[in-house]
Amino acid sequence: MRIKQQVITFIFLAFIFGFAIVGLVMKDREFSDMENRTLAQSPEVSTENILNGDFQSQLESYMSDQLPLRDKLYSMKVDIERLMLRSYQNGVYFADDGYLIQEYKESPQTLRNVQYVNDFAKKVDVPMTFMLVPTATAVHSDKLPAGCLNDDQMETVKKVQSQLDEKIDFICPYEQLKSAFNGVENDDVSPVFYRTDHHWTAWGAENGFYALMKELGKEYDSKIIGNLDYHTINAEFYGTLYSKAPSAVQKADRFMAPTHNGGVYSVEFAKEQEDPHTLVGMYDLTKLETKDKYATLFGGNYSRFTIHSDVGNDEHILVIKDSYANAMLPYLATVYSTIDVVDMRYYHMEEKTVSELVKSEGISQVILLYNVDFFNSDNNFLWLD
Amino acid sequence: MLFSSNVFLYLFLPLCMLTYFVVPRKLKNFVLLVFSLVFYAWGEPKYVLIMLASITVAYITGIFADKSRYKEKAVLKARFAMITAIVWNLGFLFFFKYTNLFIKTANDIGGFGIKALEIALPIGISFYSFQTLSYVIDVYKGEVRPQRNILNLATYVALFPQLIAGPIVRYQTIEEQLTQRKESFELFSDGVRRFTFGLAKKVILANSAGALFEELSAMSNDKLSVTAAWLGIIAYTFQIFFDFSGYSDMAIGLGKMFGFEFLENFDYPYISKSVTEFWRRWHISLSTWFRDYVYIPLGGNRCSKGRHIFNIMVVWSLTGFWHGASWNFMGWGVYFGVLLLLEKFIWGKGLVKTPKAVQHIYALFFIVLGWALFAFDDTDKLINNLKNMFGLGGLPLINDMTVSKLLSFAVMFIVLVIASTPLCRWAGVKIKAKSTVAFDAVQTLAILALLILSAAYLVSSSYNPFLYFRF
Repeated sequence: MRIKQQVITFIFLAFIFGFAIVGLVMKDREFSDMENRTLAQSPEVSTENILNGDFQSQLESYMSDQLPLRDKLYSMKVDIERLMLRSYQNGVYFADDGYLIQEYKESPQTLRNVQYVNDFAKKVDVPMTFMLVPTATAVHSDKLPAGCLNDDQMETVKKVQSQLDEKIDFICPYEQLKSAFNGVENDDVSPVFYRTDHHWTAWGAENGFYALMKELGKEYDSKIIGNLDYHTINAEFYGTLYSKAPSAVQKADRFMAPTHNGGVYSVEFAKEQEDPHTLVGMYDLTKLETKDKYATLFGGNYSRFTIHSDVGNDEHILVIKDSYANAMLPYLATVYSTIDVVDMRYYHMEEKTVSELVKSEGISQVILLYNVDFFNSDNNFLWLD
Repeated sequence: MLFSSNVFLYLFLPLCMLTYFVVPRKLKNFVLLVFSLVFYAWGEPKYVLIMLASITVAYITGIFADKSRYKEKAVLKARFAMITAIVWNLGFLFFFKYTNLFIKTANDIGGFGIKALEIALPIGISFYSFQTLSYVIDVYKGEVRPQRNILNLATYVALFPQLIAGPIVRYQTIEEQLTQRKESFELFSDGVRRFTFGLAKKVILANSAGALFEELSAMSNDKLSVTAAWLGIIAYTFQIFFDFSGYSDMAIGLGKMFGFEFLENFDYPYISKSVTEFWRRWHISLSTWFRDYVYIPLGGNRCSKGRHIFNIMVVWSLTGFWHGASWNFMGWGVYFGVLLLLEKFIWGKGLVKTPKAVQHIYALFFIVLGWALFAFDDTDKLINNLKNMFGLGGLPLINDMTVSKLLSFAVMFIVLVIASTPLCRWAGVKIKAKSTVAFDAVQTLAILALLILSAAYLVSSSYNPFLYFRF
């Protein structure tokens, strides 16, 4: 009896003192790869801070953010709730075949964004194509668990298409992605969409690329595409959706990106301060060592950069895009000698508006490339001018 | 500060324990007092002054409320001291808690346009006012001796385990413990058990049930169904029980760790077979407080039937109103007052003759319905929700959203139901009868597992990943 009392006492003291002491000794983390955000740092002690309560609430965030085993504890909570048959966690559904699929709710922002795009089209007099890519939420909707409360992305796509200015050529590669997936027998490698990330895979992007080329009536060199090497850039990958719902039993993805042996590609950043200086061709291989492997593609997202390739033509296009485009750009670069790439999340109040850029750079084709989820929620389209 | 916070668990509590168990006996109460004041000041430092003032008033009036210090004819002085304590405590409680409600109500009725005061409710004032009040009244009644050492009295009032959410610990319960208590492995480990169960009740069960209620109660009528309205209020029924009783468990557990033994506050209220029984099992320290300091002084049941009914209604209106500055709380109290009267005078005798299952369903129906009155302090929402529950809102009986929620919370509900009953305790007794070793092992492992799980749930509230990097 007495031994039991001592053991319980010890367990409790070890618990509270353990977290206290390890938390004190351990070096604070600045950034959480898992959560993709900066973590709270130790708060400043001052009479004013204490009297108005800021110190107290900051200390709680600090201790919570810097708690030893934080990510493991969270992952444990996710698994306990999975055991209790909860199929939803933090905006993510646990779908069949190990897929994590994002929740989708249509927002009024979509139609506002269509309006911004229409207004932009009036200012540009070169051909414009808008590719809106459905995410796994739509393409793999049959994998979702019973009782999901998602809105239908294809309804959103229809709305966008019907509201879009006639000048803009619209394409949604839903069928192509669907049949690309159905054509695969062994889906161990997450063919079209990553299981653990909200992006499409290289192969998903490749199929998007075929659909886009067909829509533009553009030839591509199928020999080059067929001979791309996927072994050089190839690593185990736990993506953003895994971060939101980290389960210990989750299977890893493989991140792959195409290498065109013999092709010469270079990326030029419009702003010197954005250049990470770690790009080799189109890829930042240092990112393969980090958690966010998708950022290997161009090193992430920037306001504007230009891809130069040794394709023997002088076609200069502009791609206005979100991160989905990053996986398709390597394919586009085998077709166009110069691709200007603009991300409206960061291209704010620049020297030239996007439409001015189209004129001054002699752009012959504008491509808008977005996924439905992003187009439905992003509020940076007002900068598109 | 909340028990269910990282600062409390991994900073405040380790420091407090370390200091408390290192210092000599003489200083232990002082250490507890200092930590309690820090604990109290954590959320709103300035309100410590109000509590200290209340302690001082209780100390002085307590000494002068002691009848034995006066000669026969001067006992009026003792009465005066007691009345001073009552006026002070109730005055403060009313000023901080109810002033703005009365201003708002006056404006709503008379359109006076009086500006609301900028006062925030000092945390725990409802609890410690009742404690100091009962102390002085008990001194006056001669049930306890006045505390001559203000540090001991301050330790009693400010004692952090029970400071902000009860139980309402009476001075007579811990009078002796204040000066002569003995910490032991037995008490400490028992305290750990209670604290851990309470913590798990709060952060795992109450928060999960609460999340479902929050989500459903924020939904507009076009998304809801009749079943969802019930589901929401049932989730609230679990949330409030596990939140509140979890807090009481943590308080009792922490008390034990420091050598105090408080009285029980909850006794499986949802297994009651009548509303009367429910109130014997729910927030016991509050209902006994009202019984001893309001109901009995009013004459209790030793009076005419009319007066008896009046006494019951006064007690239950006040009990309801104590829960918060909003009329729906008083309505909730009146609702229970009426039900108790009906059980006492109309159908109580008939009820006990029905099958047990009927009695349980009867009691739970009125308890859950009571929470539907309690949960919304916005009258429009309250009425809308009641309409939805009884199919008057034109909602479908059930819809996809409801099915989805039922599916994903089914297991959680089973856990909630089991945890609301003495099933685990009963299983424990069975195991213990077969093998004490097995029981000890299971209980010890359960404590370890629940501590770690609670830490995991606690951290999850701040776990917040972004798809895109946040600058």
